[in-house]
Amino acid sequence: MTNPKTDFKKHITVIFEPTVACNLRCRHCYQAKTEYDVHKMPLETLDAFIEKCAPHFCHVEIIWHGGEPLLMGHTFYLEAYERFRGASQRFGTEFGFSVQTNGTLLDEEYLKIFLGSQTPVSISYDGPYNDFLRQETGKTDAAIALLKEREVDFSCLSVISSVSVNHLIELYEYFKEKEISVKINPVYIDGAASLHREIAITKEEWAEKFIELFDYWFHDEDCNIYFQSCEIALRRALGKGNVTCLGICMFSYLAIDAYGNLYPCGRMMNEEFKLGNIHDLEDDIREVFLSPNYLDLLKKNEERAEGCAKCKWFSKCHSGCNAAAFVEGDLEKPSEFDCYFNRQIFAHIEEVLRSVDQSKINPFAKAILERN
Amino acid sequence: MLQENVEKLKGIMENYQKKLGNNDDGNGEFIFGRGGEYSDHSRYCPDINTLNDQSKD
Repeated sequence: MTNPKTDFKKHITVIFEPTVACNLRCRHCYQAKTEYDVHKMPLETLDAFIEKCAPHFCHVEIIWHGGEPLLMGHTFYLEAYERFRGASQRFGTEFGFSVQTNGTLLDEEYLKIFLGSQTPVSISYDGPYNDFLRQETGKTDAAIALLKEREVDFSCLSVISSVSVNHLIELYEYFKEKEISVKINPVYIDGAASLHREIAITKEEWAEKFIELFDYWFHDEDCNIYFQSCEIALRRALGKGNVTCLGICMFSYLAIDAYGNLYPCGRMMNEEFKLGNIHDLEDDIREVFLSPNYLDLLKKNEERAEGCAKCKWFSKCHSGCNAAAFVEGDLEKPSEFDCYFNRQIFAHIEEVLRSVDQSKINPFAKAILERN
Repeated sequence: MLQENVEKLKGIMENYQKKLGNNDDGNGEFIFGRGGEYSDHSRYCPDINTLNDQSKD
């Protein structure tokens, strides 16, 4: 007899966008195309999701995203976590949570909710360059101070733009000095960023500066923070770990909006990728993987992979991210930006590992190498 | 969902993974490449407090 929790995939990650409304208007925000619709997810939609998802997976990872997810208010999360706890007992499903927020609405009550539910907090924050893309830096600084004061498990996500790309090492040192773990991502030209081309960086700039930063990080014996961007690059270069945006999201990753519509990814919430609505599904969220739009995406992904199959680095990137390819206009070809970057960084790390001086190495890099 | 559809889905997925040389076994070792989402570093990194304590010794 088959087990409904293990007969397909055991694990699924779901980007939960309970609203795309936001109290900020950042210059790079890809959600600008939604016009920050103020609709909020009713609890009935959350209930439908739980009933149709929890019975079919051992582990469900929920990422609260938006818009600004804290605009939902405390009551929504109190009710939501109560429901997830109930589902965990009923279905034996394990739930994991995290939240991506600009931090401006973070208060004691939210901290209590997130601490009580073991929900790590990720703050969208660009350090000394925060004002360039974002707004209300003072409020975000206050949120970070509060998180540190309460010793909450948190990290930051920094978006790299034209103003910061030449200062990546300084940015890394900034977060080290504050003992805040961080991940950096290049700005992608989508949504509001399409109207602010001056914030863009080239693929050459990103690769060159990231490689400089990687070398600095790799030999930094005093590293005291998780620096996920370099950790991921090193792990992937070693062929370790599965990275969603390096081509393995299919069948393991979904996004849901405030109306209950399901999509393959939080960055692909367009009509052409709509997979169905949670309220319309019979009893099993996995039905969306057989929807025409999902099968079409799969076909294009496979075509992209076929074109990349002979590349030396194919086993490390699996032809890359669907959303990045889509933003550049053709799902059947890899994102030129990402492809260039991946080729440069993987080749560089291969070289670094051949010539590495093992006596002076970042403790996190060392741990990754030792576990290889 | 009907069991035959689960089997169909499994077949489609396995065929896809084969084409991609994808080694994801669905067991949850899963980290995020871009989205900014927090990921559980304990899956592959030593505990940060332990490391920081050692560096102070």
